[in-house]
Formats: sequence, C-alpha cells, structure tokens
Amino acid sequence: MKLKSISQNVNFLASKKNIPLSTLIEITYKCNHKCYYCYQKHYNSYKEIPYKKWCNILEQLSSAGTLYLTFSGGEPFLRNDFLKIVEYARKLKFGISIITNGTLLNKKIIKFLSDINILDIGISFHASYEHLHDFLCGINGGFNLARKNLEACLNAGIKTIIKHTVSSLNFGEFIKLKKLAKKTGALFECDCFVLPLEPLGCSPYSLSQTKFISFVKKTFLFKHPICITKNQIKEKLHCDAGRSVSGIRPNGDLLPCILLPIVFGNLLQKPFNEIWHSKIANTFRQKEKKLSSECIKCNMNKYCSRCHGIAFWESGNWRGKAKSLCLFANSVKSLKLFR
Amino acid sequence: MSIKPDDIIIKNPNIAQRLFEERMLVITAKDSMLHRFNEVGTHIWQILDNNLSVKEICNSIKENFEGFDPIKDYNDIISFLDTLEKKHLIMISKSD
Repeated sequence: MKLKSISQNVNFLASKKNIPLSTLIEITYKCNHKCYYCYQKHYNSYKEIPYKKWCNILEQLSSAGTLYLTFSGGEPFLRNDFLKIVEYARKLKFGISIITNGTLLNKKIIKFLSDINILDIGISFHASYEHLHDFLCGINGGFNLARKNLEACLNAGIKTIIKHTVSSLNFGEFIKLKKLAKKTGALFECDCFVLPLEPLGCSPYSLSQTKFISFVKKTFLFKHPICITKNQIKEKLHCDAGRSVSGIRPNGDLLPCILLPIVFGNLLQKPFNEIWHSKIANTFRQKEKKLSSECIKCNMNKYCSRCHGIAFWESGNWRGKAKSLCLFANSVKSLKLFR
Repeated sequence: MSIKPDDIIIKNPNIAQRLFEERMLVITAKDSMLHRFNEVGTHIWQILDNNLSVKEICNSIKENFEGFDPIKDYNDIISFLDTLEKKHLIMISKSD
C-alpha cells in the first residue's frame, strides 16, 4: 500500500468532507496589463467587495476550514486596500499566496509581505526577455519591473515563483524561464493550457499537438513508463473543485473553482456556509461524480490531464471533453510514458 | 539545550494554522511544510496562545486528559516541544 503524505491525507479528508481547504480569491479584475490571452477582459465592470465585507468573508472562510488562501486578479496590487486585506488574512492565520504581474511591487510592499510571512508570491512572466514579454503583456517596461521585483522578493527571503503560461506565441520560453528560476533561486511553475478568449472554442494561442509533444518531452519528470491503475485513472478524471477547493470573484460570487464559472451564490447576499452547503453546491458535487460517458469510456483517459474549467470554456459542457485536453492526452500517449 | 519545567513556550507568530477536523494544521512560511497534530498536540498548541511554562502545559494536560503519567507523559511533552522548536514552530524563553 502506498503511504500518503500529511498533505495528501488532509486534502483527501477535506475533499471527502467538503471542507474548503484552499480558496482562490480574485480580489479585483482591474489590471495594468493587457495580456494577449486574458479571458477576464469582459469583467472590468464587476463591482468589488469593500474592505470590511472582505474581513467578514475571511472570518467565515477561517471558520469553514480554509487554510490556504491565494489572492490573484486582475492585478491584486491595484486595489488600494489590498495590503490591509492581506494583513487581516494573516491575523486570521491563513497561509497566503499572491499571484501578481510584479510591476507594482516596491521595497516597502515587499518588506511588508516578508514581515507578515506570506507563503509565496508568484510573478507572471510571458517570456525570458524584455521584447517578447512586453509585447505579450501589452505594456512597455513590464519585464524589467517584474525582473527587478523578482530579485527583490528573493532578497527579502520570500519564496518566489516564476509563473508561466506556455502558448503558441511564447513556445520554448519555458526552458529559458526555468533556467532563470534556477539561476535566481526562484521556483518555476508553468501551465500549457490557455483558456479561450470567448467561451465555446479553443484559444487561438493553444498549443498544437507537435508543440504539446515537445513540451511533455522536455518537462516530463519520469524516465521510465508509469504504471497507472484503474482507480488512479478514475481519480485523475475528477477534481476537488467545490469540495476542498473554492473560488471567489471580486463581487463575491462563490464558485467551485475560479476556472469554473458555476455560481453557487453571492457572499454579499448569503453567508459562506449557507452557500457552500446549498442545494446548488450539492447538486454540482453529485454531478461531478458522473462525468460524460465520452470521457469515462475514452481509451485515452489514462493520459488525460482533465480540467472541468477548460472543458467548460472550450465546449460549454464541464463534464465533457475539450479539444485541447484531448490533444494533450494524444501527445502523452504518443510518447509511451504510461504502461 | 534541554527544556526545563519553568521555561516559557512562545508560539512562532509567523505560522499559518487552522483547526481541521478537531486537529491543528500548522504551516511554517519558510518551508511551507504542513504539520498535523494529534489531540494532545492540538490542545498544547491552543493553550500556547497564553505563553505558558512547561509546568503549566503539563498541568493543563493533566486536567484535560485522563490517566496522566507524570514521568512518561512529561517526557512525551518535552519531546513534542523539542520537535516544535527544531521545526521553528515555537521559541523557548529560558527560565535561568
């Protein structure tokens, strides 16, 4: 029997008992970048929850069992009271991660984040060099600021992660950014799926199968084929969205996951617990157990990196298949990494 | 450095924590390591908000859990506190 780590055990228990251990909060949709792939372009008119209400919501999350809190945006540092919100969250003993484009950080902010001991900060990089990064984020000077503040965060002792989305426009940069992370002492995280700009269709910047294959070849950690059991396949197809994971939009909409826009309810109107255990949330959980038969019966499912959010955005059916997920599975299969 | 009965135990204020299914989960920012305490560990962690001495911690365990063994349980508590200190979850203010 394979032993599970404390973290795996806690996640398993949280998922089984619907305890929202991890919550991602999009604190604002305002952004000083105009990234080429941004799916939030239509959301600018969202009304934002005021500071005091956020404090109340954080208290509710704490009581509900949330330990890990990730703040993202938009660009979170564009909210004037963002540091006050983070400070209050730390008072409630959350483990905090922040995802930012890194341009609005300065010495004072970085010292503050270091002093209150956030868990980590993720800085988005589109590329390893100025010209391409700035072109893709639509702002001149974005790269140099992000690069400078990456170093400043590391020097302040904050665990800092270079975050990267691999697309057809920056393909290959993940290798250079990984090297940059190693050189600077940062961590590196990348994702190879790009959400579409508009629902129902693939992103024009999604990777082709050739590029998926190249990406998997260069990033796959295992040298020998992996043996995967039927139970593991079943686990792989499901996710913890709406169980141990939740997402909150700037206006207080509570979602099962920030990528899956099924609104359980709004936190300005009802308390967290009432929404989290509501009929709509429980129905979602029941439905999640029954994915579409095309995915359950698919002979590629052991290669699949299923994400209900991507499926929703690409096909409108979050329990069904998605073109980019199928392409990725095909790519993994072709490399014979699994037995 | 041995822990003595009058030493005061101070929680590291920089950790993240949450009571989860009646057990305390604690993370240190430096290594993001997740720790999960048992029932007694959770009790100790909760009363540490008051900066207690080792002696006071033992008394609290004695009052709240049945069958306190003065030698074995004292040693277990010292060993637990020693582990917490090594993981930078607490600081010890020496009595002498």
